[in-house]
Amino acid sequence: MDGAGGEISPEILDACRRGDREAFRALYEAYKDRVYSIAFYFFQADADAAGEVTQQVFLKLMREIARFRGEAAFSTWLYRLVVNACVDRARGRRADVVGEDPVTLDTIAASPALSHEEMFARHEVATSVQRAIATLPPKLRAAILLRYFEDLSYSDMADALNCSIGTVASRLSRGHRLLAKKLAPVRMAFRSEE
Amino acid sequence: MSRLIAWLVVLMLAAPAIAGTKFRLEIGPPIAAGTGTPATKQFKNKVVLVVRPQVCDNPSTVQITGTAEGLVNGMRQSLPLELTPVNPAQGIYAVQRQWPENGHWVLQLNGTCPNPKAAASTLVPMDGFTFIRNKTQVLREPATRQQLEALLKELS
Amino acid sequence: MFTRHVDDSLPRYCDGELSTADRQRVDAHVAACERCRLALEEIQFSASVVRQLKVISAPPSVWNGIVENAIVEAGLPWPERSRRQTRRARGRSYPLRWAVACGLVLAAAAGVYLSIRATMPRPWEVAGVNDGGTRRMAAGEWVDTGGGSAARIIVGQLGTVDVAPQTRVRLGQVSPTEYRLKLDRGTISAEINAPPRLFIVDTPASAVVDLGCAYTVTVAENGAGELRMTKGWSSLEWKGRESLVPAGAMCRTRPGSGPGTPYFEDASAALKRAVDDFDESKNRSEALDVILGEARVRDTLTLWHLLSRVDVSDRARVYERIAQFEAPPVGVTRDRILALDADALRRWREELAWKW
Repeated sequence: MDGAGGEISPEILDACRRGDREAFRALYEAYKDRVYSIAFYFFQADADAAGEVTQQVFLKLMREIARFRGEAAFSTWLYRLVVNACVDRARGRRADVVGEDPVTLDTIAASPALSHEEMFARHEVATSVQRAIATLPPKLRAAILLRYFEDLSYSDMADALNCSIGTVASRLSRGHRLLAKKLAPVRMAFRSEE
Repeated sequence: MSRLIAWLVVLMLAAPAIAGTKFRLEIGPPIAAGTGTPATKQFKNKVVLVVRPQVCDNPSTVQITGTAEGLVNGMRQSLPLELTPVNPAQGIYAVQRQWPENGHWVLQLNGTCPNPKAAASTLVPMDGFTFIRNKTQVLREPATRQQLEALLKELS
Repeated sequence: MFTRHVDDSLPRYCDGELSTADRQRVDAHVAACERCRLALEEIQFSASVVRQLKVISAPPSVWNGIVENAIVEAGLPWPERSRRQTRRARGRSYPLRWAVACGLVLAAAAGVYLSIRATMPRPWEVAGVNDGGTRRMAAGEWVDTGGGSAARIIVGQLGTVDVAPQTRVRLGQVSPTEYRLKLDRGTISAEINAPPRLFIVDTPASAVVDLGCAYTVTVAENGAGELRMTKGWSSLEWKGRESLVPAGAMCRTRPGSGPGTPYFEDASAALKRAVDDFDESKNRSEALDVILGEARVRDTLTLWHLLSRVDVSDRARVYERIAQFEAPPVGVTRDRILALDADALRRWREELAWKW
C-alpha cells in the first residue's frame, strides 16, 4: 500500500499561518489523498462522506493553524482532526447496518485458491473488506486505518487518538480480531493455498 | 361588573386563538438566509426566495408546503413545489425555480404551526425570476381560492 | 496459576515494535497459549488485508467545496489573503495595471478583434456571436466588440459572460481559485454558477466579486459603472469599501470613490436621485432627508449601508429610521450599531434582509 509521505516543510507551515493561499494549497495537495482515503474507508467507500469530512478537516485546519506551534508533528495534529471528524460523523449516522453479504463471501470461499494478489484484485473481496472495516466500532476503525494508511508510530498514534500507547495497542488488537472474524470466508480462501 | 368579568373570561379563552393568528410565513431574497449559505451549488442561481415561519413556539416543527399556481396561455396550472431545507432548526426553506418561464405565476406557500395551533399562507406573485414584493400577500390564515385567483388575474 | 495473555502486545509484535526482551516473552507465551496463538493469526491476517487497501485520490470537487465554504465563513483568511491586504494591493497596483492595459489595447476596425498568441496557455474560450466561431484566448488578451457585434466568453465550467457591442474586456488570470476579467468600458452580462469569489470582474471603480449569481455590469467611458443584479447577490469591493447588492437591486460605482450605496430598482425615483446625490457629495444633508423620508421597508437595504457612510452626527437618525421598520434583534443594541460594531451590523442586516 502507498505509505505516508514525509512531513510538510516548516516554511510552508509558516506561510500557511501568514495566510498564504498558495502555501495552503500545497499543504492540501500534500495530504488530501491520505485524509480522503481514511474517510473513504471509514465510511465504507462513501465518496460523499469522504468528501465532506475532508472539507471539514481542511477548513478546521485553516481556522486553527495559527495555533499550531510545532510542539508535535504536524501530521499527528492533522490526523487527530481527521479521526475526530470521522468519529463525530459516525456518531451522527444511524448504525451502519451493512452486515456481510453472505452471497459475496460464500462465492469467495468457494473459489479455487488464488494468490494474495489475485485474491485482492477481485472486486468482491475489496468490497467485503471495505464493508467489514466500516462495521467496526468507530474508535477501533480509526486506529486500524491510521496505522496502515499513515504508518504512524504507536507514539504518534497515541497523540492523534488522544490516548495512551497501551490503549492504541488494545484498540488495534480488538479491531484486527473483529475484522478477522468478519472476513472469515476470505481467510478460508487463503488457507486453502497453504 | 359582571359584564366586565364576562368579557375578561372571553378574552382569556380567546387568547390562544388570538396569539395563533400572529403566525405567518415570511419570505425574502436568497440573501436573507445569510450570505454564508453554501447549501447547494445551485443555491444562488436557482433559488428565487427563502421562507421562514414567524410567531410559532418552535420553528422547527412548522410544516411548510407550496404550489406554483400559473396561468399559461389562458390555461390554469398547479405544480407542487419542492422546498429545500436551509436551516431546519429555524424552519427556513429555499424555493428553487420549478415552473416554466412562460405564463404568469403565483407561489402559494402554506404553513401550519402546532403550538400555538395556527395555519397561514403567503401568496407570492412572480416576475420571471424575481418575486414582486409589493404584491406579496402575507396572510395570517390559509389563503382562499378567490384570493389566489384574484392575484393571478391581476398579473395577467 | 493465572497466565496473563498477550493480546494487547500482539499488534506491536506483528509490527516489530517490541523490544527484544518483550518479543521473546511473547514468543514463549504464544507457543504455549492456544488462545493467543489464534489471536496472533487473526491479527496477522487482518493486517495483511488492510495493507491491500489502495489510496484513493480526492476528487477536485473537494477543493472547490473548501474554497466555497472558506470564503463564506466569517473570519477565515483563505484562500485569499486578508481582504485588507488584497484591497491594499489592488489599490496600489491598479493605476499601473490600468496604464499597462491601455498600452495593450488593440484598436478594432470592425467586428470582434481576437488575437492569438500560440505559445501562451489559452484558458479562455470566446465565441463571436456574429461569426459563430470560437477561439481560445490567453490571459492578458482583450475582447473588443465594435459596432453591431457581440461576443460570449465561456468561463470554464462556471458559466458565461455575454459581451455587448461597444465593449472592451480584458481576460485575466485563471487559477483553480480565481477567474478574473477586467471591464474597461461597455456592458457585460454574467451568468455564473460557481463557488463564491471564484469569478471576479474588475472595473475602474470597483471589483465585482461574484458570489454565484447573474448580473449586468456597465462601465462608461469615464470609468463610472453600474451593477444590476438579476439573481443571487454580489459584493462590490474597493479599497475597504463594500456594497452588498441582492437581486432586484443595483449599485453605481465611481472612479475614486468605489461602490456607491445600493438601492432596489423599484425604489422611488426621488430616493434613487437622493442616493446618487449623497454618493456624489452633493447636498448630503438634504439628500439624506429625502432618503429617510422616501424609504419603504424594503429600502432598509439602502439605509443599512448608509449607517457606515453618513457623518457620525447623522448616524442616529438613520438608526432610528431603520428601527421604525424593523427593530434590531436581541443583543444588537443601539450603542453597538452607532459604534459600527461589525457583528451587530451583520446580525441586523441578516434580519433586515427578510424585508428586501
